[in-house]
Amino acid sequence: MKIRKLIVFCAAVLAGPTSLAGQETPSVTSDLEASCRKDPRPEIRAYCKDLAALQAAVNQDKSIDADKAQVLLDKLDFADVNATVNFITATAPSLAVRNALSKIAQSNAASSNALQTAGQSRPDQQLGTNGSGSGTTTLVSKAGSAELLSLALDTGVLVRSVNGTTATLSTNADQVFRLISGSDPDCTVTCNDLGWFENKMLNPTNVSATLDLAQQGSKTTATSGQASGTTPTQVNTAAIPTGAGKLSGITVRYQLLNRFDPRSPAFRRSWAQAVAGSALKSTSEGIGDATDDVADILATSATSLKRDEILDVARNDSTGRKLIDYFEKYFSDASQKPLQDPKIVTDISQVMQERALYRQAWLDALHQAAGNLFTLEYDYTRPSNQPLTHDFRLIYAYDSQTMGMLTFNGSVSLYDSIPPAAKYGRLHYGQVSTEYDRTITGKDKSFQTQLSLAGYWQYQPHPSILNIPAGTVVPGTTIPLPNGTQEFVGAAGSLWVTQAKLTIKGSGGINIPIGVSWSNKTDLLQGSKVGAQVGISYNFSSLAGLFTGSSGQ
Amino acid sequence: MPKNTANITGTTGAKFTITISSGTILAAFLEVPKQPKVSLTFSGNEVTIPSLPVGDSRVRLDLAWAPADPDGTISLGTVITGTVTERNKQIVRAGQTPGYEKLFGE
Repeated sequence: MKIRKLIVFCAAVLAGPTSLAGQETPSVTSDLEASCRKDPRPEIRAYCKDLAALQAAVNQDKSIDADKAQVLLDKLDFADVNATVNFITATAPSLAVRNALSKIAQSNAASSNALQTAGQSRPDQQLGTNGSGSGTTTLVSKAGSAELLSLALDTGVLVRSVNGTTATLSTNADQVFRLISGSDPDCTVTCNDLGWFENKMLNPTNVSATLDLAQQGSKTTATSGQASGTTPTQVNTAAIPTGAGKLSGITVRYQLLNRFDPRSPAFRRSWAQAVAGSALKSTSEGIGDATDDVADILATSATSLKRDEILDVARNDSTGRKLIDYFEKYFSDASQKPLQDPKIVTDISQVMQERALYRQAWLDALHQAAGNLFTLEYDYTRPSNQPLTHDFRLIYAYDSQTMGMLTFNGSVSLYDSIPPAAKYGRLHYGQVSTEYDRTITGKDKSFQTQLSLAGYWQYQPHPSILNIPAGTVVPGTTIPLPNGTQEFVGAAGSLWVTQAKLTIKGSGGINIPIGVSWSNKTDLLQGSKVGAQVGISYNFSSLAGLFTGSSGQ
Repeated sequence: MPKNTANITGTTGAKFTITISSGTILAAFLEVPKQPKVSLTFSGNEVTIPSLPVGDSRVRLDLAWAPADPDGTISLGTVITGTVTERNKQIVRAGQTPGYEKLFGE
């Protein structure tokens, strides 16, 4: 919201007194804009700024004619190429865009892949589960996240004793919101609705869920009597399997951008570099080509705006309400014929798909220019036969661009609850870790390899806690242990882990991490351990594309 | 698109530049009806039109916008050969791509 206001202010100041934009009276422009931006009619929202600019120009100079107001009128006249961008924005929601999207999936593959490949060069993305999981390839959490949607399968273990295989699905909160609400899918720097909420809350937030595929879900149930045997055994409850695969963790990450002044020379230089290395060029060309096609159809089939008439309407009502109503009727009448052309539906769908890709490329460029200073991460972890924990992690990344990237983690893990008479406190452990990542081959190619070296230190004040499952008997006896029994296992003190990892990054968003690790102990067992980790992840190009067949696969 | 709605008019074959006051140019194309688009060279915010086509044509600017970029105004830059006149300055709203400048050569 602040950025939008700044843009309006800067436009008014920089356009100067001689241009038509400079004739906009700020109060009229902002009043009319404020109301038409919330208008339920998509065509009024799309052309809001241009309608407000025309009304302001007329209010300032009642005698203004169509020639002097040409630039402003061009933007409202569907037969003029300068009205096309907003025409697409206005009509897209009402068209059967989703049906048409499947027809253009093939043509989108190239641009989707371009976006994925651009994302592949980033060493800072966390796609799989973090180091505290029982099936993981990641010792140190990265600062970045999948911008859209990623799926990772990881097997191996680093900190824990129990090896496992996990599936992690990650997505951006804003993507989910847009998919569900269909809200303003192409906005970049001029987002209208929910600006603050979207920019400050949804966009920087990523959510992931991890399923431990090796664990069975289980449920404790009462038994109804001994079924066999001659010696009576008192077993009141038993754990029964309820399904393969268990939700082992949920992670919420919030990325804090480095503080920057968008108008500072330093940011402008960073922005120029980020734009040059981004997928913006290919995606903007896709938008341009499809917009050209729409413009050509409109030029031949849309009714031209009656320029003198709309100026008269604006003169007769300085509030702009009549102008808005007039424009709504013009939109309704003039768009009928072109919208009957089946090609325009496909072209508009194409533009909207390209705009979604452009938006992601724009956000990537912005992150690249501003840099990730910190990422806050919260993990809700449900390890097998161990107490639930809440982990809070602070992640800092420094990307030197040429010399590789350093990532630092610091975290504390707290037990979810403490049973009565517990001999341990709320603190599970504290840890610090660091990782160095560097692309070693194929920087300019679609197939890259990345080397990662990581070190991890964890200190826990008490040994690990093991929950004794219901129905467990005392070894060598038939005496059942009471439900809720916990035992200390392993040792308190320091846990050291080192890892070397090679990640093969293929074109189209596929990553294959292969790692080896050494640790002086694990959470439940004493003695050093050498382990191996392997995984595969897929970084999808567009969440919406999944549902339209255009994910670029 | 008649002459009186073009942003820039000039003699056919004229060489000149146009500039945009805001945004970052990613690509620029000269588009003539029923002909393939032609990629134009640009440096910073200035695009060179090597030869103004006869009749209607347009320049398409594919743009990226940084946060806090204001709306962009397209203006006539340097006239290198021929006679070129700017009738008005086209405005491109911040965040929008592409932007168009309408030309007419006679």
